[in-house]
Amino acid sequence: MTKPNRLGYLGSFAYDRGDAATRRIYTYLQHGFPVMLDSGAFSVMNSGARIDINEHTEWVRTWQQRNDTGTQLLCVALDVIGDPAATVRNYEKQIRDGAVVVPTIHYPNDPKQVDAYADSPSGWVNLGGMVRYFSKSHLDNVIAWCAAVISRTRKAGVKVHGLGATPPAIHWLIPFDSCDSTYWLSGSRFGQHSVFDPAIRDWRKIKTGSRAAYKYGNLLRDRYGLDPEVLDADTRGEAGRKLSERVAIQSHDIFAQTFRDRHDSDLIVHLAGGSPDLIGYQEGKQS
Amino acid sequence: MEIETVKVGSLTIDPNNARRHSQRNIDAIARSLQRFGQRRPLVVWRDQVIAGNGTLQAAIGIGWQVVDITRCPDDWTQDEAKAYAIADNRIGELAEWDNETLLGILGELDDDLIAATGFDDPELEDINAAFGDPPDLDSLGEQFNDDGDRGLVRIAFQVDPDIAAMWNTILKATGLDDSDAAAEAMIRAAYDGLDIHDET
Repeated sequence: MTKPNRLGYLGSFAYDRGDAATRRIYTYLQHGFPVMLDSGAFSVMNSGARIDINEHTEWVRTWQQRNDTGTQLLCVALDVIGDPAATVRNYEKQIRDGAVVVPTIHYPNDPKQVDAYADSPSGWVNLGGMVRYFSKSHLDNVIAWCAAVISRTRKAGVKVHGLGATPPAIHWLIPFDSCDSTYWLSGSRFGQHSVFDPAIRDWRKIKTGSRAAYKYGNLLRDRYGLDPEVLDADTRGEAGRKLSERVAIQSHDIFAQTFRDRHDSDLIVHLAGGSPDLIGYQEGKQS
Repeated sequence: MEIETVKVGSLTIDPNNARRHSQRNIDAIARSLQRFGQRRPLVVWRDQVIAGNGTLQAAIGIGWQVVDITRCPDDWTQDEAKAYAIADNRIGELAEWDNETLLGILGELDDDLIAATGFDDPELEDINAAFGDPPDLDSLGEQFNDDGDRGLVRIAFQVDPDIAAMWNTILKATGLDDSDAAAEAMIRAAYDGLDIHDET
């Protein structure tokens, strides 16, 4: 059986409505890139706005009817941040109303809570509350929590998406089926590239103009097909922006392959927002 | 290839050796020489060692009087000798460890043989942590501590003295003597009042 694409797109109800966004997301699906549609509840909460659950449910149902591509489309249930009981009620209502949504369980809630989703119609569950880590002991406890949850979901045959779970230290130990990266394009914003190095299973920060790229010449040439001189150049301007995006996408592709190899899994890394040029990247690989 | 046995004093270390040998490196070579003997000759050009300088240093360090060498052809130029010295180090450097296979092999060896391989215990622990099999999820999950680190963050801000007095009055009036719990309760109440999300 063919493995799914290593890269996908993470969109959100809060930001990806409207004709242009719909066309863009549908095009990803047409080209075989898995899509996950989040509610964007966390971002909305921070802006003080509100999300109507019925509108969200209708949006999910419409997307699920629209997707005739055969590519995986997952839609996340509308979370209520900081309120597990209300989150469960939302999930149950959305399922009753015909939206096949993915439930979320948050760190450090009791891992046994995930048993309630053993027959989740989507066949998936999200693990949340893992975006920031405040200490080594916190990270270790998050990893242990993920293991406790996944040891239960595996027995139930449910797949797991790690919301914002990007640290390599987690992926080295935890066999997620899917995750997403909000900061996938951060390299272009700060005059540096973040390049994933499978040899150390971590990111190399390459500040443009600092000659740091030459230090990683073999990595860049052998794994990325790039001349270090190109990465040392200024990333301002359209050409620089495109280069940064290409490096970021390729880095996440290599990231996904590294951890697929580690766990013999079908890990998918969804790039969140920013209209990643996944199709151009795929065509570049084939040419 | 002809092999000669010569006195260590008849050889000179390459003054232009581009490879630096740390004490740890010399000690590891010495352990290997003591355990396995010299199994490969040094390469010498006009009495100067161009491959095996670390081995010569280690041999002298453990009191050896003689070592085995092989000589480069007499007609080699100094540049050829320099290039060979670099090639001898660089070519091997281009190979990579297959760490999983390495761990498997080391796992079958006795401790005294492992000590002679050049790997030390902390290094092996690192390789094992980095390249060993993924952990058993059930066992790892048992390490989850629900009273453990929740990633709590500290919020600190400055207020006028009268606001601080009000805070103390609130704590006293509500009977909440734990500032953290009181602040959390008030933030939750304020948050609930925002009515951000629909609930069923």
